[in-house]
Amino acid sequence: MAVSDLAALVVALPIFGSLVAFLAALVRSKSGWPVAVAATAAQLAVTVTLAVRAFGEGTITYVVGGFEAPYGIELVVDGLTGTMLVLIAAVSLGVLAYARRAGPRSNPFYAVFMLLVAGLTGMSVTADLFNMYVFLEITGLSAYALVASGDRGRSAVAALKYLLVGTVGASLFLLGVGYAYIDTGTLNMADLAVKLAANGYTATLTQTAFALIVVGLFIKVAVFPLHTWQPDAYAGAPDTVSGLISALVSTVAAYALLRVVFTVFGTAFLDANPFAHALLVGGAIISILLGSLLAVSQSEVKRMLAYSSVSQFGLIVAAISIGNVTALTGAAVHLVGHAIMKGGLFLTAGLVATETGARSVDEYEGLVKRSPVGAGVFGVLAVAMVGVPPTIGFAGKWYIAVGAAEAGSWTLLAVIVGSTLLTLAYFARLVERMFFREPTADLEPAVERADGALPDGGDLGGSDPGSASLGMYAAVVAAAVLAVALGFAVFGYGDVLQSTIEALLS
Amino acid sequence: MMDLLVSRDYYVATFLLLGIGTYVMIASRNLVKKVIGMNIFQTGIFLFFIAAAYVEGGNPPVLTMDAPHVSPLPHVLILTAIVVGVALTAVALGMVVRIYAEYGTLDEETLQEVRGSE
Amino acid sequence: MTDITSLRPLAAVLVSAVAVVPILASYRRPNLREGWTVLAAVCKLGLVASMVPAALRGDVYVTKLGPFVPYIDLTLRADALGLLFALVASTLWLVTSFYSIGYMRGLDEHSQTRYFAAFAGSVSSAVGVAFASNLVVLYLFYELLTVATYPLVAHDETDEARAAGRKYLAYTFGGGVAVLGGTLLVVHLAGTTAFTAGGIAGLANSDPTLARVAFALLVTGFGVKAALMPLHSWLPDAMVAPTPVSGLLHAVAVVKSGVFGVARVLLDVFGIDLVAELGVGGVLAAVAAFTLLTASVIALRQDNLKRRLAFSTVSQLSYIVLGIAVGGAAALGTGDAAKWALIGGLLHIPAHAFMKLTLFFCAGASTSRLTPTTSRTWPASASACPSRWARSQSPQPAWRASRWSPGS
Repeated sequence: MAVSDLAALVVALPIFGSLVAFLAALVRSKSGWPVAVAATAAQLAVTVTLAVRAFGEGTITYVVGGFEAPYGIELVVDGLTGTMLVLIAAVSLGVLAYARRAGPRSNPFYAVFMLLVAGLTGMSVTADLFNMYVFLEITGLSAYALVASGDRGRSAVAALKYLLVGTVGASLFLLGVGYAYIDTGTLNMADLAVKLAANGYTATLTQTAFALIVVGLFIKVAVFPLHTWQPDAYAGAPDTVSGLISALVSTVAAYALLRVVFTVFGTAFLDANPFAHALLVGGAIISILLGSLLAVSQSEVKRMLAYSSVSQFGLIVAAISIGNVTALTGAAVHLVGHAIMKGGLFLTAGLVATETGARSVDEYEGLVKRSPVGAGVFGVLAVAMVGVPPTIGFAGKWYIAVGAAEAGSWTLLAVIVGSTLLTLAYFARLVERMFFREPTADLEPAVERADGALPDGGDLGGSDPGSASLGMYAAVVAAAVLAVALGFAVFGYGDVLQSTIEALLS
Repeated sequence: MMDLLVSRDYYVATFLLLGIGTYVMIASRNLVKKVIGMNIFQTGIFLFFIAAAYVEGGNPPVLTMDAPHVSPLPHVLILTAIVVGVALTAVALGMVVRIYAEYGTLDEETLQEVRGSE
Repeated sequence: MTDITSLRPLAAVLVSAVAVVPILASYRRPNLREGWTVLAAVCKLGLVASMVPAALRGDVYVTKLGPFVPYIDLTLRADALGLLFALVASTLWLVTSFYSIGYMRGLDEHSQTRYFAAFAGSVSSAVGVAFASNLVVLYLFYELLTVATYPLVAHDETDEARAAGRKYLAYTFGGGVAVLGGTLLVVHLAGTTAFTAGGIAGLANSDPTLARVAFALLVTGFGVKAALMPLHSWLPDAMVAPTPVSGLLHAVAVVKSGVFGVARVLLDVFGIDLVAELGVGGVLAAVAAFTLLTASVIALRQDNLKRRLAFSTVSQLSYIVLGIAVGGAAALGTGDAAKWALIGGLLHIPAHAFMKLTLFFCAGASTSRLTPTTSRTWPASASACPSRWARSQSPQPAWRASRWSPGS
């Protein structure tokens, strides 16, 4: 089998896994987990192979069904795609380790889980705009369903809101794709780039297409003020699911934004249209500042983490708006870093809730005595998120900031550097409560459950709510270790990624 | 103005549908009507694509028919998009059913009151 | 001057960080736990001291760990200036460790494991600051120092301690942000931040306005920990921490890391010639002189003994900064004057460290014997433990020596 076939396999494999997980229920109930683990492990192996090849030998392309581009659908794996593919597979595997005990455990859950992996993978590899829309919707659909898999009404309300807003985002994206198609008669990204350039960058159709696509993706990335679905969705979802979608869904949407802005429209378009540049810069600055401010005022830990994501994705949009090699390397590093840190934080929040029942900022008082591992990991990840070197949180921010200095955007530089303090503002509050206060009231997980405040695993039975499994500990500890260790690997990564980014910008 | 309305009537209809859909989604308090609003919004986009594919005096894109043909690609795309839309509607209605079972209301404001006292 | 590639600087930094693990692990057995602390302290002092002969010969131990981020290598260099600071910190850590054991057990303090672990981490970061070879590595350890000392400031877990901890984090991370901003500007202007004796060449030819902004950001950032007014107010508040913390960290390791940062920025990033040319040395000297006087006056009015010592620290630190800044301001064509000011300033780093640590130890000893720590009770305590009182007075000669170095 040729290497390029692997590009198709990474999409097919999780879809196949999803089907098997669904059908396995006919043979034996609760058999979804092993199927999902097997499929994701295989997926990880394939994606690592692909990524190594993409970094070593350059871009891999695959033409679906033998229809040559630009008429057929093309799948392209370059360094950036490879990064995303490995990230998706690795995070999914980590979340699965966590989900073993934390649930939900039904087979349909794992079927949808694998479908989400397929959608995300597809968004990463495709080189066709309409195909990207389809995968965007597959991702969206499975994410809505996963959010709703919590057994409380709150999950369903959050999921419906997510669905309505998310659909509008995807539809705007589709409308933008329509404009680009009318303009050029093609949907292949590389081909679009050539034809859009030929039409001239100041054509109204091109400008409209850009605006619609970017705003559509802003909704999916949850850039302020289009973030309203996100805190509800993250907070309302079961812990397993919030860990997964917070780590991956917005991340891949941001990757799609990066891909569309640079592969389809290109830096020349941004240079020719000040409004386009202003849209990105404005979204970035507002997100960074207001996301952090909203995070400070939250009383529920998961909502606070959700608003923190709004702010962190502001950083990535800032990197896209800067658009030089250093900043985009920073965007890639921060996408990976944020996925690990934020996914880890959500899983830790879930672990803490399982062990102690604590879910609000006030309930975290004296946590270190009740859940030492949870508090320790939370502390490490919070420090990483703030951007204390040598963690990966610092590395991403450093690249983006150096990129801003190279480009001479001093306002952005000030906001990026200053965002450290804003991040500190909401994490310090929590760290202080965890380590330097006595617990005020004894919370028992069982009591919380009676109130219906513990969302996961409710109808599944068989598990002791107060105990966390080895897999749960392993997942969160791995996230903390990676958040620190990857900080040292960033330079080597930036080095191999350079050719990809240069190709992207040329 | 009239010219525009007559010669670009499909596009005018598209944006009317988009507007109505958005309005229903925002203004209606009933969750099912919100889902309907979402459907109207999507229909606007479908119409946009199909209208863009139309060629004056064009025949269906079948080889035995004479040129000019209308562009077949948007039709294919929209077929996919309609399938996606149906799936979305199904999931959305599933959630609405669960919300109704849980809270006994479909009214957004009543829902907020009920949930506020949770 | 030759570079000797060796793992010794890295080992000297890491030994106490590694010790955090066994310290945490043996939380059930206090004697073993304190054994680890002492063992790490002895090893650290030994490692640091072993590099002194080379430094006296003019050689430098270097640990190269490869590139870290663009433009920046993860390299540790134990040069003379760094060794001075590292030697002070590691010597005093050993002394303080014994003192801590007595103090913490004497007062039957809570969370002793966390205390000793954080202490070891702090000293690691302080030595890391000393051996950093460029601004980013310095920033790295500077931030880690903040993180590691925060648990010590908030140790008491009272409202007052938590408020002090919040203030501490806000001030020092704010300073960290300024350092980061300044570092980025230096990278932008010069393409490197590696410390070079006499200053980084690329900076001299760059836009003077941006260079001034970079200087201001860096000095403000390090000035927070050096407690330059008006950035000093975290220090008196941080005195709620246990006395050994106030002694070693808030009179020696943490505040001196700020001063040390200022020294590095003046001497090895901008170089004193460029500082004089940009005309920023005089401004810094003025701020330092103002702090020196004002803090002393405020110290007169403090009743709480530790707060009084804290303001004294604020004032004394400014001597060091003043010495360095005068050296920078006077560099052009004044020959020896600048050199003497620098030597005086740098000599005051160990001198003040020994004096102030002793003073804090006495204050702590009086706390554990006679509860209140206000200076009004001092005459009584002086008679209660006369030997300590005498010791607190004795380091005067060193104080004079560094302060009245000729030429300053």
